[in-house]
Amino acid sequence: MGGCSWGWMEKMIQHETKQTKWFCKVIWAWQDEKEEKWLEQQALKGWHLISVAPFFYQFQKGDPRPVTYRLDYKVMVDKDYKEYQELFRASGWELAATMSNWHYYRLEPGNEQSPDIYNSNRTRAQKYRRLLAGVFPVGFIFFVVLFPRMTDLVEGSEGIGLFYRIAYMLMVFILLFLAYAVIRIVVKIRRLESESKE
Amino acid sequence: MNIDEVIKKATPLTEASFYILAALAEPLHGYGIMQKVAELTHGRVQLGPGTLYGALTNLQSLGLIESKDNSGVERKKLYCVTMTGRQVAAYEIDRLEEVARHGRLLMGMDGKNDSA
Repeated sequence: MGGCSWGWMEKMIQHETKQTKWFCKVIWAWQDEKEEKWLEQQALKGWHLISVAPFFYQFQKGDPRPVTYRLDYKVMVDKDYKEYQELFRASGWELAATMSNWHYYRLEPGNEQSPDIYNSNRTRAQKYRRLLAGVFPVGFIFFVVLFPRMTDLVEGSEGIGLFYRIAYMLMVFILLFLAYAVIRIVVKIRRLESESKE
Repeated sequence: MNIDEVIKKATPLTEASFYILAALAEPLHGYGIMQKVAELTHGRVQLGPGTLYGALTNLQSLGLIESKDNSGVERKKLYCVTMTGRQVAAYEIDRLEEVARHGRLLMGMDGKNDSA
């Protein structure tokens, strides 16, 4: 699989209404640094992120300025979630949007606070460890609960409908993709941890 | 776990972790740690919130610091070093002093004419 290029299937700008616009862009979880850069480029053009849905980004028109975006992963139902948010807020990072445990933080220019949310690759790697831990339950449900049932269903009866066959194919595809995503994230963690200076 | 095992597991601390641990000789909340360390190092060590959060989690799981819910109005968590944490910090201070001393010795930078 050739690097990150294949994930960058950029699509079209969609209906521009008044002061906000929606943008469709396919970016995967392991490409968060590219996502940050892209959001910063949008901010330079005066488009500031207000919400995120899977592969969809909503921006609001404002003055063009060089803001910094950082993405972080944190499970929102964690006990220490309030404390986590407070740390970011207190150090000048504004939460622009969230999307399934991904947090989009924004730092306005001229803010003297920490220029980055991580000082070291070692702690940056922890973010991806949290991501893996967050993805794991989904993968587990898929693998252990849903997938064997579907396999039984498809193999059990000859006269199974086309709908189920397509659903099954889709499931196999999602499983393979999940496995690929996990590999990409593990590789990233390895790289970060081997690059850490200590 | 006895203290030797803890020291073996926890050290060498990263610079960020060491500063956090040492700063918690007095109880502080998260942002207080950032400010104290930045002030002390004249902005050289600026703890990012992600790193601070990760380090606080690690230090707590190692038992070097503990948190208590602040009963005050702001309800911010206060962190403080534990007895184990103090011992680990003392060990690290000795180690770092030794490293600095050896560095000076090896580089011939002993004494007062080392400002070159």
